[in-house]
Amino acid sequence: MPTFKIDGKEITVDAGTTILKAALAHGIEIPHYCYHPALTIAGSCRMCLVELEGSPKLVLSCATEVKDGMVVHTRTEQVRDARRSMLEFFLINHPLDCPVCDKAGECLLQDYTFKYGSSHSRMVEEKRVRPPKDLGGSILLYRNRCVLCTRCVRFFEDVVGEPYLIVENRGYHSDISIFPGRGLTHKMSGNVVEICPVGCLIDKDFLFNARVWNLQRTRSICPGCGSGCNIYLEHKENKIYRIRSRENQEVNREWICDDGRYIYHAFEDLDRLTAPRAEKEAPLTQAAALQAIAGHISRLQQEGRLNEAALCGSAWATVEDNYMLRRLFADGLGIRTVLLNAPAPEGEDVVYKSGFTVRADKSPNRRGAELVLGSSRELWQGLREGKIRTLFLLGGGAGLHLTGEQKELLDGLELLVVWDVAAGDLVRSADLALPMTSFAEEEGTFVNVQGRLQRMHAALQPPAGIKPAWRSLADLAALLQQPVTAVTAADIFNDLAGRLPACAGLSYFKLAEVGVQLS
Amino acid sequence: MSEKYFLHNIGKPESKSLAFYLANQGYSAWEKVVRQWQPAEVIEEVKKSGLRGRGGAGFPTGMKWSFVPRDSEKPKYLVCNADESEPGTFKDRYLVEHEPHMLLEGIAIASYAINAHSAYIYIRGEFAHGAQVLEEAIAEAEAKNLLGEKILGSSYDLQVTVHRGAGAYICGEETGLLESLEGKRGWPRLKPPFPAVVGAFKSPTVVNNVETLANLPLIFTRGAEWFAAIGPNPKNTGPKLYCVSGHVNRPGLYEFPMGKNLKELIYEECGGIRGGKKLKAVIPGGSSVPVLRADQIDVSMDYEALAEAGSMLGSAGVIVLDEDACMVNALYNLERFYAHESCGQCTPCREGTTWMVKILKRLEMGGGRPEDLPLLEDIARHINFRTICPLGDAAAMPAASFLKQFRDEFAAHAELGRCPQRR
Ligand SMILES: Cc1cc2nc3c(=O)[nH]c(=O)nc-3n(C[C@H](O)[C@H](O)[C@H](O)COP(=O)(O)O)c2cc1C
Ligand code: SF4
Ligand code: SF4
Ligand code: SF4
Ligand code: FES
Repeated sequence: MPTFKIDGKEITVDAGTTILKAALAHGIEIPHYCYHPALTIAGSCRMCLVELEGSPKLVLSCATEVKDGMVVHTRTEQVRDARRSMLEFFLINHPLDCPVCDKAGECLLQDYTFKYGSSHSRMVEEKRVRPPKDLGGSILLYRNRCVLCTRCVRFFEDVVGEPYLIVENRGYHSDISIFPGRGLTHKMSGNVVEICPVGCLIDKDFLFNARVWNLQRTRSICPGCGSGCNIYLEHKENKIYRIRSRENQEVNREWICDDGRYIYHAFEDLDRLTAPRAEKEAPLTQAAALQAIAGHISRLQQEGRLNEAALCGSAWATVEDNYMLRRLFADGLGIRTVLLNAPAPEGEDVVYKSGFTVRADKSPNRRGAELVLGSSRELWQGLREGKIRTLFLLGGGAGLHLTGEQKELLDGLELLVVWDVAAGDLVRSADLALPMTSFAEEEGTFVNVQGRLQRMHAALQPPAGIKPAWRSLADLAALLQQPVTAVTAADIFNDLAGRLPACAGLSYFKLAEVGVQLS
Repeated sequence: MSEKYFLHNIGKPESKSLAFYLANQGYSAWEKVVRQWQPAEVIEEVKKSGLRGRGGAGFPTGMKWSFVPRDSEKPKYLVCNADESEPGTFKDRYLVEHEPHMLLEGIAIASYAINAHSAYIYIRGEFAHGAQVLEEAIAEAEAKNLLGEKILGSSYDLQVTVHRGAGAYICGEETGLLESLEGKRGWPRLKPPFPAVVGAFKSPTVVNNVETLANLPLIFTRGAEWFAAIGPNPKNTGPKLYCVSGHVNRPGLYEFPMGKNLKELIYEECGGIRGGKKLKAVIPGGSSVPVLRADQIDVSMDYEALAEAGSMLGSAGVIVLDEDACMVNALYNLERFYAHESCGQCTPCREGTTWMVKILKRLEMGGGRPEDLPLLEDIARHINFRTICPLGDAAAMPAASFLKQFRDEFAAHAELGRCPQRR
C-alpha cells in the first residue's frame, strides 16, 4: 500500500489508486470533467492537472497512480494557472446562458469557474455557434454548452454496453451526436443528463420547469421494479419535478432506468380513492368504514367462521403496511390463510454491461411482503380453491387491471375489504374500500429482490383524509381490542424488528443510508 | 561523406524493383540476420549503431525495441509509420516510392528483433502511388520467400500488410495511428502504457518511422561500428535525409551524414536564397519546431546542437523564409494547419489552436491590437505540455518562438492593426 503526500497531508492508499481518487476520498477537491468513477478514464478535459515533485510537466491526477513517496501539490500557482486557463478555454465558446439553462445551480462549469476561474474574458472573437439538437426520446443537446468530456459517449459504451452516442467531426468542430437513424430512446438514456457536467444534455421532461435550487430533495426508493434503485425525489409545493438517481454501490451504483425516472407521472394522473367507500360507490367516513369491518369480524367470530377469512398482503405496499395487516388479522385474530398480491413477471430481467438490472418483477417489495407475511401464496390461486369467503386485501399497485376471471373470483366473495391508492378495478369489486397513501407520500421500507431492506422518506403531503394503510389498520386494531402503539412507521418497524428473526436487532432510525442486506 | 545510401538511385526508375535491389546486394543483411542472428543480438547491434528514430523525437531505436516484453504471451507487432504529414517533410515518401525493398528489408529485421510475425505499414492516405509500390514490392518479396512463411529456410514467418490512412495528420502520432489501425477514430491515447507494452490490439508494438527502418539494412551489411562512425558524435550517427523547402534556389531532398551544418546546407547545397534576397528565418525540423533567425543557423543539424540553439531536429524538414516573408502570415498559416488537424480530444488544443487562428487572422487582415501579443503568448503557454499528445506542443512552440524571435514584426502588425505589406 503506497503512501504519498498531497498538500502536506500524508495518505496511504490501495495500490493502483489514482491521485484524483485518493484526493477526493480525503476531502481534497481536484476539479474534473471527464473523470467519472463508473467510466473508463479518458484523460481529455485536462482539468485535473496537479503538480508532482520531480515531474517537469503537470500530471493528470485522474490517470496517474499513486506511487510510494510521491509528493503532490494541488494548490500551487502553476496548478491554479492550469485550472484558470482550462476554464478560459472552456468558456471562450460557451454561450454563458446560465439564466435560461436548466443545469444552472448544479453545473460544474459554473462551480469551477466560481472557484478557480477568472472573472473577465479575453475573448473578442466570434464564438462557435451551433443550434440545439433534439436527440430523440426525451433528450435535447444544447451543443454550445458541451465541454466534450465524452462522459455521455462512454456511459453507453461502458455501462450500457451498446454504443449510442458518438463524437462527430474533428478538432474545433467536434460535436456530440447520435448514430444516424437512431433516437436517444434507450431505457438508460436519462442517466446521461445526470452525468453531463454542464447543461448540454437536457431532459425535455424537466425543461424550463424549475430552478434546481428551489427544489427539495427527498431520499426514496424507486417503486418501478424489484431492483429497488435508490433515488432522490425532487419536489416543491407538493409536486415532484424530477427523479434523480441516488448512489448506492450495492444496488444501482449511480444509475436508474427511464421507467423509474419518469414513474412519478403515473402517480400524478391516478384517479385517487380519497375517502372510504361502500359497495356501489357510496362514500363513508373512515370511522364508519372501520366500524363496519369490525362488525363483520365480530360476526364471523361469533359464528365460528373466521377460518373462512383470509388476508392478502401486497408486493407494492411497504413492509410496514404488510406487517400491520399480518399483525392484526393473523397474529391478533388468528386468521390462517395468508395470500400475496403481486404481479406476474414481465418478460425477463434486462442486464446491462455494468450489471445494472431492470427486473421482470415490476413490484418493489415482493421480498419484503413475503418476509413479513411469512407466505408467498398467490392471491388468485388462493381464491380459486374456493374456501375463502371474506378477504382483507392490500392493493397499492397503480393501474392494476383485473381479468374477467379475477373479477368473478372477487365477486364470489361474501365480503371484500380493500385498501388501495387508486379507484381502480379492485376498488370497484370491493364491498368496502379504504384509501391509502401513494408513492412518495409515506415513509417506510421495501426489500428488493436481492434481499436488501431499504428506507424511503415521504416527500409529498397526501390529499386530505388519506392515511397510510398501516395507520387505518392500527385504528382498526384498536377497535378490535388489539391495540398497537404506533404513531409513525418507525414504531411499526421497530415492533416487527422485535418479532421477525430476519430483522432482529435492526432499528428504523439506524438503518444505513445504503440499506441492510437481510440474511 | 559523399557516398549516398538512400538517394544513390535517383533517376533510376527501376530502383523499386526486386531484381534491381537484389543485384545491388539487397536483402543480404536480412538473409544473414534471419539465418544466423538471435533477436537479442540484433537489438544489441542496433543499440551499438547509435541509431535514433527519424520520426521526429529521436528516441534510440534499439532501446525502444528492448522495451517489448520478451515473455509476453501476446503477439507482437511492428508498425512502420509512413504517415508523413508534417509540413515541410518529404523524405519517407521518396523511400516508399523508390526504395520499397530497402524499407521492407528494414521492416523484416526490426520485426525479427522483437519477434513480431505481423508488420503493418501505415501509409498516409494521399500516398496512393506509394501504397501501390509497396503492395507490389511485398508480392515480389513473398514470391522469393524473403517475406511470408518459413523465410529463406528458417522457421521465421512474417506477414507485412499495407494499411492506408484516411487523411489526418494526427494519425502520424503513434497512438493515434494505432487507434486508426484498429479501425477507430484517430484519437491519441494516454501514455503510459506505451505502445511497446500495450500497442496495437492491446499487444506489444513497436512503431518506427520509414527512414529509421530504412537504416537497418545498412547497419547489418556494414556493421554497427561503421554506422556509428558517421556523424558528428556518438549520439548522432548514420546518414540522414534533409528536406529543404521555401525560398532557396534548389529546394529538394538531400542526403548527408547526421549533423550537416544548416548554413552550409542552405547556402552551399541549396544554392542560397532565391533571387539574391536575404534570409529571414529557418524552421529546421518540420513545422512543429521553434523557428531560428538568420543569425542562428550556423549550427550542426543534430539533436543536441539544435536543442541548444533553441529548436529541434524534428523531421529535418527545413523551411526557409526570405526577407519578404511576413512572419505573422507564416504563423497564421501554420496555426491554421494545427487547428485543422487537432483531433479535438483535449481542451487546450481543441479550443486554443482555433483561438490563436482567429487572433492571428485579425493581426494579419485587420483588427489587430497590441494586447493580442501577450494573449497569443499566454494561449501558447497554456497549451504547451498540457495536452494528451505532442500536437498541442507542436502548435504552441511555433507561436511562442515566432513571437519571441520576430517580436518587432508582430508589434508592427499590432500597432497598425494589420499586415504592413497588405493594402
Ligand atoms: C502530431 C504528430 C504527428 C506525427 N507524425 C508522424 C509521421 O507522420 N511519421 C512519423 O514517422 N512519425 C510521426 N510522429 C512521431 C510518432 O509519434 C513516433 O514518435 C514515431 O513514428 C516513432 O518512430 P521513430 O522512433 O522511428 O522515430 C508524429 C508525432 C506527432 C505528435
Ligand atoms: S454532452 Fe455533456 S456529457 Fe456529453 S460530452 Fe458534452 S458535456 Fe460531456
Ligand atoms: S431498474 Fe427498476 S427500480 Fe431501478 S429505476 Fe428502473 S424501474 Fe426503478
Ligand atoms: S493535443 Fe490535440 S491532437 Fe493531441 S490529443 Fe489533444 S486535441 Fe488531439
Ligand atoms: S478529469 Fe483528468 S483529464 Fe479530465
